Amino acid sequence: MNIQYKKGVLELCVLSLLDRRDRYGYEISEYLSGKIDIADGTVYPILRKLKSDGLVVTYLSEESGGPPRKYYSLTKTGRELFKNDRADYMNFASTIQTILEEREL
Amino acid sequence: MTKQDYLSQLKSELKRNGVSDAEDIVSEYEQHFLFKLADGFSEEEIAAKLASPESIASQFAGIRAEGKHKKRKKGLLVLWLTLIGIFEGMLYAAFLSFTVGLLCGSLVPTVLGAELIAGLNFMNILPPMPYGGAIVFGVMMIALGVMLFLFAVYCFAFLRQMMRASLRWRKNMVDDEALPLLPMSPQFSPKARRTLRSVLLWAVLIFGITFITGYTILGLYTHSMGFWHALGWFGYPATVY
Repeated sequence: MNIQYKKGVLELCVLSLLDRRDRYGYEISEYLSGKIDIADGTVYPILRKLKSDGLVVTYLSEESGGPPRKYYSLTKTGRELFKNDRADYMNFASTIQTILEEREL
Repeated sequence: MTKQDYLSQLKSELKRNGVSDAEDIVSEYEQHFLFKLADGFSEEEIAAKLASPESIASQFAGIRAEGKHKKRKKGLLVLWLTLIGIFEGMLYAAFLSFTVGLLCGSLVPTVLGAELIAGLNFMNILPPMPYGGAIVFGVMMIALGVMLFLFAVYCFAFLRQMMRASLRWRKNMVDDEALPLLPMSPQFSPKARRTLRSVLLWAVLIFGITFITGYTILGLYTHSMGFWHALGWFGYPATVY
């Protein structure tokens, strides 16, 4: 699939994953690269952009030995924006689907 | 490419692209390697799946560092926003006084209605009428009071939402942030909206029914379609009492 299509929606996917619960970067990267054909390294720049836009905050958490994990958590603004963008996208996607499925009568 | 090669290339590429906090970014990729190694992948495999350091670094290049907002000249903007703000504030103040007036105004029919039902007439402001009509008109006046009160509540919610939307817009203008703009129309929770709507519908319905019923009762009582003449309202000489 065209990389340009994917880039736009990856951000929305990351927000959606974080809307359910806080996650660490690797977890998000693994989940998305398992479902969508993207390079593993693509998710980290997105997370950083979300952080710089104030949509997520990070905190470190130690778990079962190992190095501390950097967790990402949605801010209030992030949650609000996600709700809006999600609705917009659903609307957009269903319109596109209708157009693509239209056949000459 | 080994882990060390990858990370050092990434670091130099990030620096070349002028990305701040290169260390922080590199450590995140280092963690990625550690997680993947623990899952049994080789360093070469992991590096290959990550995309090249150049490509990764270029994706970080466009992102401004957190907390370092671009400083633009905002003096004019703030002045402009303040000027609009003064006029906006005047509009809000006028709307607020209208709303408060409406709220107080809604008390008038309510009190009059209560008086009619209780058969009282403080300060002799109510026109004379038989109690059969008075009780029905009393209920009608209370329904009217409820309608006015709901209108005041709606206006108040509208005012509040307008102010919130305006503040959000200002915040976006000044802070370079792109928070979603808020709608201008009043926002009630679905439950509150349903309650308000059903109370309003009942009030309108009761108002209509009691108006017709009251008119009919007094019309029959006075044998006149213009019962207010017969009852001596508005200075007409009474013919029934």
